[in-house]
Amino acid sequence: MAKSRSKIALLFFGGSGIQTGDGRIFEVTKKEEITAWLKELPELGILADIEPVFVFGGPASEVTPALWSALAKKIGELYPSVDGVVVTHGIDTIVYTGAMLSFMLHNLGKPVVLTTSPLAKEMQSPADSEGLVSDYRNLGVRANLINALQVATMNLGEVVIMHGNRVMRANQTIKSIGPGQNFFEPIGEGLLGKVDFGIKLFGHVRERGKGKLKVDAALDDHVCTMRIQPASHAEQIARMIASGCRALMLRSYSTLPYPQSFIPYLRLAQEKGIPVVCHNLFALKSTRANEEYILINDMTYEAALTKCMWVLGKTREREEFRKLLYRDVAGERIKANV
Amino acid sequence: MRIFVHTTYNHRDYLKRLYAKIVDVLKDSGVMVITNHDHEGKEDLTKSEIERMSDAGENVLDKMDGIIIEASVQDSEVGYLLAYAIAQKKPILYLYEKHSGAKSVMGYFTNSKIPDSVKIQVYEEPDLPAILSDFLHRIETGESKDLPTIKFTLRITPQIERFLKLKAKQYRTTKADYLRDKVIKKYMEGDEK
Repeated sequence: MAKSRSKIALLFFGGSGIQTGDGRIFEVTKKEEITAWLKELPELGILADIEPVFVFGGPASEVTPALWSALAKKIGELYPSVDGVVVTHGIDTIVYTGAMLSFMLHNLGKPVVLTTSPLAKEMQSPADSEGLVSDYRNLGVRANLINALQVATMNLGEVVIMHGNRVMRANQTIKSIGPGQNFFEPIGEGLLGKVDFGIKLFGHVRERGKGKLKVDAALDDHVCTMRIQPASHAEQIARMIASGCRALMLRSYSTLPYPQSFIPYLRLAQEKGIPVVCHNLFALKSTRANEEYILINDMTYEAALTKCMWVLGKTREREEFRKLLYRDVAGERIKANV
Repeated sequence: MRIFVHTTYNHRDYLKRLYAKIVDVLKDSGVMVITNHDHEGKEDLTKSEIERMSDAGENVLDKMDGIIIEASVQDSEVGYLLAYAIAQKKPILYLYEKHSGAKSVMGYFTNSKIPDSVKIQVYEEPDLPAILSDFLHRIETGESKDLPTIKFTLRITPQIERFLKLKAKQYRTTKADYLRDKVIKKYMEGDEK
């Protein structure tokens, strides 16, 4: 290489399923499996010196806020001695983890690249893997890992998700609902780079910096969530308050955020010092906002929810909570809506 | 046939001459050549084709039949392309000029057996036509493992043809690959059991 070799920490946090030469699906679920897994991917050594670290081996559905804190702290430990970090992660909650890491890792001056695989250990029968493993050659599972490692050596200083042919700011990424191999979609300025004949990063990426990383892993996960829909019952709010909820987050409508029947319960929450956050990307600010609720219309839902938890770990005072929630921490706010 | 050629920006005139020769020899052989220099070759892939692939999450490199890396001067892309091509089982020709002082990065490959898809070649200018011709021949004849090499003619009805076309579109593959991977191999696995 023209420059000295990079040293990249490869953190196993689920989502590491690959197909072996004999057709098995192999993912790292415990530390002892790492060596055998790396033997299946000898080409990774061409890219960088890899320091593998086991953090978590369960499915994405088992990822918890406590694990986020553990992951952030582990990244903080490794940070001074590596040039970048790659994290393997299960598909279902990777966007939440990426967003939370972006809030927890302050003054980040190196890449933290999350990537994923839809192949899981449980898929051992042809019926389980139909349409996934049989499309393996086109799925690019190994390609995701190669691309993630390469991005981790590049001039980038933020938390990103690398999947398919896209490099995306983690806190401006949503799960895609469309067909195709792009499992995730960036919104706002979230598309940071593309893979075509190489990996190209765009001009608006946050570049590497020399400052010292500060890990702020404190959070409070007593955030109750509710999706407002025609079948929603306002009394559920009371039950949430009684359960020890410390902040309330509603996936609300865009015009009037919730039915009138909700108002008494939301006032009860406010009286008890519980901030009420309404999230809808298409909602317009109104005078009711700030009086009754804190409107978030310029972040993804995943970024808003994880930021709520992160801010709640610092303050429960409503006005301070609102100010911190509105402050741009890691490029999560979509400029068009600000 | 589509070949992607990666060369590194540098100021050495003799290397620039060699890069141009590689492209010329390939084009004279009738292959579509795409290079990492924007002004060359990419016009052979239509913009809409690249956009379609991009929107579908596909990597344009996956559409290449082979990759040639001229690594006399190495940059950060060399190792990446090599690793990517190995992971995707893409035929690669890794070249470096004899007097360039470069060395292969395959020393970092953590398996003692280099894949059959990788050909590493030290060269001098007169050797280029033969080396490139041999690489193209290896791709055409499928000397790399995993490539199907035996031609088999099967007459089918229009109804079957329509079915295969539908399935190929559904699985984003060719009709032949669908038959090989989804039908024949599956039948063989079931038969073994």
